[in-house]
Amino acid sequence: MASKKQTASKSAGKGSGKGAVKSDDKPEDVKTEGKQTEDAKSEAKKPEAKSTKAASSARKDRKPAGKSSATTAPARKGRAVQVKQPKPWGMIWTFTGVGVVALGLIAAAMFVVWDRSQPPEGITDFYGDYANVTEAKAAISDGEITEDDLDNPWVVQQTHVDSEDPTAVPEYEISPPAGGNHLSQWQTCTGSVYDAPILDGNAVHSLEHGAVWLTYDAALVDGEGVSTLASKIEGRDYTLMSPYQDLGVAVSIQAWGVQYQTKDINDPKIDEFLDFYIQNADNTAEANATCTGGVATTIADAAATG
Amino acid sequence: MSRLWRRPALLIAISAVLMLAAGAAIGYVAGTAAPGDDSVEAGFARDMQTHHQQAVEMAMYEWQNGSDLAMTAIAYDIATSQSAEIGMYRSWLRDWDVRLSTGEPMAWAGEEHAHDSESAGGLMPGMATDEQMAEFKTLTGTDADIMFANLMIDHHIGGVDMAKLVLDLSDNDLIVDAAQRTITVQQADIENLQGHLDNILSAVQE
Repeated sequence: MASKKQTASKSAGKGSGKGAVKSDDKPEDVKTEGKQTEDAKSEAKKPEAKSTKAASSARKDRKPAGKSSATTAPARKGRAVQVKQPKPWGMIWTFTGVGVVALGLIAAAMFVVWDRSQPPEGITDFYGDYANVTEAKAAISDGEITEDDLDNPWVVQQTHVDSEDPTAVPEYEISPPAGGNHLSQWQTCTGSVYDAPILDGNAVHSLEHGAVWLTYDAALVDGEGVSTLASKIEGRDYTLMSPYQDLGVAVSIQAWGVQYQTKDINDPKIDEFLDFYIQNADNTAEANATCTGGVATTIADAAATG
Repeated sequence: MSRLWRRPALLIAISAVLMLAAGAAIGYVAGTAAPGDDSVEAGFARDMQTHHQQAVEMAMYEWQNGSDLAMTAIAYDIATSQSAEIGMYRSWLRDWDVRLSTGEPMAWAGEEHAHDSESAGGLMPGMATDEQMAEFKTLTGTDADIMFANLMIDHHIGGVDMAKLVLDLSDNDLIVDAAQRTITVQQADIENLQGHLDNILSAVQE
C-alpha cells in the first residue's frame, strides 16, 4: 500500500521505522485534527465569538484545503503551514505565577528550618571561632588546635576538682561561671528553683549535663519579678534558677560556654535562650546525663544541716 | 523564543518537566519530613523523657534503700529500662531536628490536658510532687518499699494515660510502637507492683 512504501523510504532516511511512521502520520493527523477541532470550536462558540477566532479558523479552513493534496514532504515543514496563534498569555502567567509561589513556599520553609538552627542574637559566646563545645572539642581531637589556643580554654575543661581533694573548690574566670572544671556532684536541675545561692561548682556540673542556669540579683529583682522568672523554670526539665550574690544586673542566664545578661526580666531573649540551649544537641558537654538525683540544697541549707 | 509558544508539543513537554521537578521536590521534602517542633510527636517524646526521669529517680532511690528483694528488683528494672527509653526519645528529637525542651508540658495533648498540667504545678499525669519525693527520700527499708510501690503505681497509670492520649492523636510509626509498648509493659508492671505490695502489707500486718 501507499503508506507502506512511504514508510520504507522514510525509514531509510530516518533509520527508525517506528519513528518514521509516527512522524509521517503526525503532522497530517494534527492538521486534520486541528482543522476538526477548530471547526468544532467555531461551531461551539457563541455567535459573538471573537473575530480573531473566526478569522483564524477561516484561515485554517483555507490553508489545509490547499495542503491536503500535498504529499507528506511539505507537511513536515511546519513553518509553511504555520497559522499565527496568539501568545497564550493566560498560560504563561499561570505557570509563572504557580512557579513563583512554589519557589517562594520552598524558600520560606527552608528559611524557617535554617533560622531555628541559629542561636538567638546578642548571646555572649565564649567559643571564639567555634560554634559550640562539640566543634571546639572536635578541633582539638583532630589536632587542629590545642586547648590553650582557644580564647577561653575552660570551655573544654570538665575535670572534677574534688575527686582527689574533697575540699577543693573550682575557680572561674567569669561570674557567674558558664562552664569549666567543676565539682563531682551536679545541682538538681529538674526545673528547680532555689531561693538562696548555690555552689558554682555544682551548677557548672549541671551545665555540663545540658541544663540552663538562670541567675538573678535579689537586690535588683522584686518578689513579683522572681515569680515571673520562676514560672519559666518550674516544671521544665534541665533548668535551674538561683539568686547570685552581687550579680550587678537583673538576670544572667547561662548554658555551657554561653551567657546572656539583661536588665529586663521580661526580655524575650530569656525564653529564646531556654528554647535553644536546653539539651542542645551540639552543646551538651556530657551528653545523656540526668538532671535528677543531684545536690538539692543551697549553700545555706547545707551549712545549716552540715 | 516567541515561536516556542506556538508549539503545543513543546509547551506540554516543558510543563511536564516542570511538574516532574515539582513532584520530585515535594516527594523529597515529604520523604525527609519529620514531625515538627510543635507536633504531637515531639511534645510526647519530650514529656515522656521528663516523666521517665522521675521514675528513674524514684527507682534508683528504692534500689539503694528498699529492703524487699522483689521490689528492689523491679526498681532496678525500671531504672535501667526507662533510662534506655529516655535515650530513645532524645535521639528521635535530635533526628527530627526539633527542640529538646518546651515550657509547656502536655500542650501536645490539647488545651484541656495542658491546663490540668499547669494547675498541677507543671506536672504530668501520675507524677509525684516535690513534697512526695522529699518524703520518700526520708524513708528506708519496708517503708520505702511501700511508698515506692504506691508512687510507682500512680506513675505508671499516668504513663499509660499519656500513651493512650498519643495513640488517638498520632499515627507516626515510632510513636505508635512506643506508646503501645508502654501501655503493655506498664500495665503488667502495675499488676506486679500491686501483687508485691499486697504481699509486703500482709507481711507487715502479721
